[in-house]
Amino acid sequence: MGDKVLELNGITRRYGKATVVDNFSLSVEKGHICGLIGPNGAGKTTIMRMMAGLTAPNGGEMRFFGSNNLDEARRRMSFMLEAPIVDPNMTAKQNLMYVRYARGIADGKKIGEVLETVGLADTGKKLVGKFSLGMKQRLGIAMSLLNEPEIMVLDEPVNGLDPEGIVEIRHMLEKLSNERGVTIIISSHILSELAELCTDFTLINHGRHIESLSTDELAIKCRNHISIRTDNINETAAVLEKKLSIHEYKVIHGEEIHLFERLGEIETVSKTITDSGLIITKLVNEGENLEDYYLSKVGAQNE
Amino acid sequence: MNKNIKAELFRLTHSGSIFRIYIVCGLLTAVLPVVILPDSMNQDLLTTVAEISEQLCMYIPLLIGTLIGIMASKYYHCRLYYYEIMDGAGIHRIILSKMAVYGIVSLAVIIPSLVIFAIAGVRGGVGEMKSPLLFGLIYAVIVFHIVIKITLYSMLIRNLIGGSLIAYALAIVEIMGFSLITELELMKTATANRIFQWVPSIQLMLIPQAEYSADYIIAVFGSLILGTAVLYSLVYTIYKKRLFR
Repeated sequence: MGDKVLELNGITRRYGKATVVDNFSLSVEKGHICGLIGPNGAGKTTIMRMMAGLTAPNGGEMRFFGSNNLDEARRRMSFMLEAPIVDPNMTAKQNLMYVRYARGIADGKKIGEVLETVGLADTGKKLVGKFSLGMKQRLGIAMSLLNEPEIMVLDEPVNGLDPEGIVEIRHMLEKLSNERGVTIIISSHILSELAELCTDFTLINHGRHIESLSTDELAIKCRNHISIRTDNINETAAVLEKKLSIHEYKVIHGEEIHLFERLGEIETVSKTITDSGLIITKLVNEGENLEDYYLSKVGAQNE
Repeated sequence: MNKNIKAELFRLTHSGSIFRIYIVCGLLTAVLPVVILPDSMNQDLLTTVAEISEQLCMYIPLLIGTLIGIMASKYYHCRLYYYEIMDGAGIHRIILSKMAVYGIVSLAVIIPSLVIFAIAGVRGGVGEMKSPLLFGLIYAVIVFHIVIKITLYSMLIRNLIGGSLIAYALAIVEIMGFSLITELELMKTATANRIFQWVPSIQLMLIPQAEYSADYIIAVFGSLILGTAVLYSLVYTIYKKRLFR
């Protein structure tokens, strides 16, 4: 078990009567990439704002690098929250110079390096106000790389990027994590990208922690199954239990059965169901991905 | 130099053209002594000052205040203030660095007029309370007060439109309040002057009358200290409780 560099213990945030973050806990080990997954309004950005010190929690405790001196710890972290924080009346280089001065970064050569890394080295005198969304997003990432952070907190960093840009950023983050041991907490709606990138996942909904799992645990949970749809799912489930002694299955939204045993006996399953007078409309071997798993969890929460 | 001061000075000098406009307008304060001290340095100050419009004393600081409000508010409009907070900068450091930057920037444009007042003061003989140098110094303190007040209000309001208008809005409220009370004779003029001379806009209106009583000078310096202390504590509370939304 690695060192825990980031710990949130029961943090809560209320706005009036609305509880936006409710007793949320998270711990992330050094060098891991943790994906924070949840629907819009789940509280991901609020949690990240609390990590950044922009919003004060109403309860709970945060520790970074094992310390509760958060201001000191934040100097070793960087944050990219909501839209990129840039001055539209300055160039990309000037924006980075500003961050360099604001964060007291001595080495000016880093500016050229990070611009090169995010693909903005050729923007010259173009003002950031004239950048596309994708370019601003890249600049936001560059600004979060400038202080060589040990922890990066990124709120939808690939929003607005083209597919090549998304892959480039993914490779860059993987490299940072693998080669420099940078710990990354990232949220995104592109779950396929998170599935490729992250080592851990935390699901959140209505401000509450739903589940945390590693990629290995996710692989076990998203395991292969037979998907079955018939004209009467409840009766199908009863038939499978009675006639084939099947107990490892899940009914999804009352419409489909995911069967986790007898995976090599699809013909037997099919014959048993049809012999019972039921009409099969779907029968296929499948595996869940992160998106399916997330939807099954969040969908169950919202029901 | 404090990194926050460096960063803010960099932003002011590189972001848009508002700073260049500010320098040009700010240097208009150099017009003031030229108007107040025409051809001859030997003219009686009271007579000379009486000839100039009181509004000239008023409008230049309001212009400086408005431009300062715009420059300070842009910092919040772009959310650049997030970087200082995310860097774990202390709240006192953040507030004091902003006050230092805008204080320096405002005094820099007043220096030409102060120099002219000083020359006039030396030539005219310093001795009486009503010398040009004293006029210039009091004027500089009032302008400094307005700039610090606008800077702190911008940190409270954190909105570009609000920051741009606050200087004029405050002046209108202060002057209208004073005018209403004196016009409606809700209190004696002397009493109204004594109370309202604690307000920067009224201090500017009174300064051309060149009656630098002890009360007036105490009010000029006292209002700077008191006003700054109240606004500073409000800004500190906002930052401490992270009441940014």
